[in-house]
Amino acid sequence: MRPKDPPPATYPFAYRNPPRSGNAVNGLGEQEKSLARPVFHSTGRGGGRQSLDWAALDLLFNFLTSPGCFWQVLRTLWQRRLYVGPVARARVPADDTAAMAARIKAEAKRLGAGIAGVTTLRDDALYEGYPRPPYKYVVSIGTVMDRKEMEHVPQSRGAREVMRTYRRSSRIAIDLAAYIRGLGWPAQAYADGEDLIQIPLALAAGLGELGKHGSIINKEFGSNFRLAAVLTDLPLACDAPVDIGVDDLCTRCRRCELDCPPDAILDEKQMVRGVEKWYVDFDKCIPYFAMTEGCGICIEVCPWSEPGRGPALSEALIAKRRKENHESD
Amino acid sequence: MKSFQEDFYLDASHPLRRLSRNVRLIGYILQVAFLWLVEGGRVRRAVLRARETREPFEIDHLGD
Repeated sequence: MRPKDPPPATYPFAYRNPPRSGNAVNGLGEQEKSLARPVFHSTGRGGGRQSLDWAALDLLFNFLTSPGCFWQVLRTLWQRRLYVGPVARARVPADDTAAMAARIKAEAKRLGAGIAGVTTLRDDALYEGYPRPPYKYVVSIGTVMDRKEMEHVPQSRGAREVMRTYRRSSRIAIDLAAYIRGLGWPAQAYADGEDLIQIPLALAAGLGELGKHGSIINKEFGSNFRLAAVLTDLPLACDAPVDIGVDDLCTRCRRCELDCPPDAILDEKQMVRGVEKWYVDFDKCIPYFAMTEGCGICIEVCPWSEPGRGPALSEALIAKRRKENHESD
Repeated sequence: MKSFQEDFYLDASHPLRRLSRNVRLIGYILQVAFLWLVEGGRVRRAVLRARETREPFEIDHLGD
């Protein structure tokens, strides 16, 4: 649903000396593959948060958070004490990695995840200069948001639902990691801004495809979910990336592009650190993101996020592509 | 504010280490809450004034 009268992209704050372009930090236009560099919402490990170019705007974003949202942030922070824990001495064998993966994904859904998938820890999920987590496998989980609440973006009510969902997804990751440790295998929850890039892991684990708005689109839930992960040494059969027809829609659809108040969504894929992909203009998006407690308009207006629409949409897009390919042969 | 995460994930199996970690986390949360209330309050008031006066609030110094 399109938001009524979102605030215009004019800001009561500004940098006197703007930092280096966030697009440059992200590697827009770079032809060589490289690790991502932290720019926003990161601990700035080593140099501290203040070492990041956009640290001031990140702090402003946190300060402009409404009390209801901030309360969710504090509750989620408190949950971090549970991200690690003791590992059971008795180890359950994992010779059948496919069965074990199915068991773990089923447990994730029992705990409240809407979607779950498995992949190995990948370089494109890591930041340059940050230590590599000492685990091999990743269980990527998506926690679905309440659509009725998300209709209120970019107001505080929508932002509260986002933060509430991050807290819930953090709890699911915590409980799933504890479950795996109970099987005798090391595991750690990674959620709520831990310095791991969730999207590449979720894409590799088959949770969906990258959409034009820079977020993942899942076949069933569209973009209406938030990510978390559990890293573990438990051997698990990995899932594969999926093709659900997202590019077939996004190359033709302009909904998010037209509804983005700061015009941050680009119509074509861009080269970013050696990979051609959908990319959102950081320098245009983030000030609006900061002013509106995380915006979320693009996710809300995405046609795929409409409940019940996704599976049929995916089938129709892929069928159309096959027909067009057949006709051109 | 210094990140506490770098040495936060110690061996979690020892009760005393868990206690120490939890105490440090409480301290960090209180620090965050205090910062949001006090400094954040000042910034929120400045942003409101900026909306009225149409003079943008300069953010370069935030966090210094």
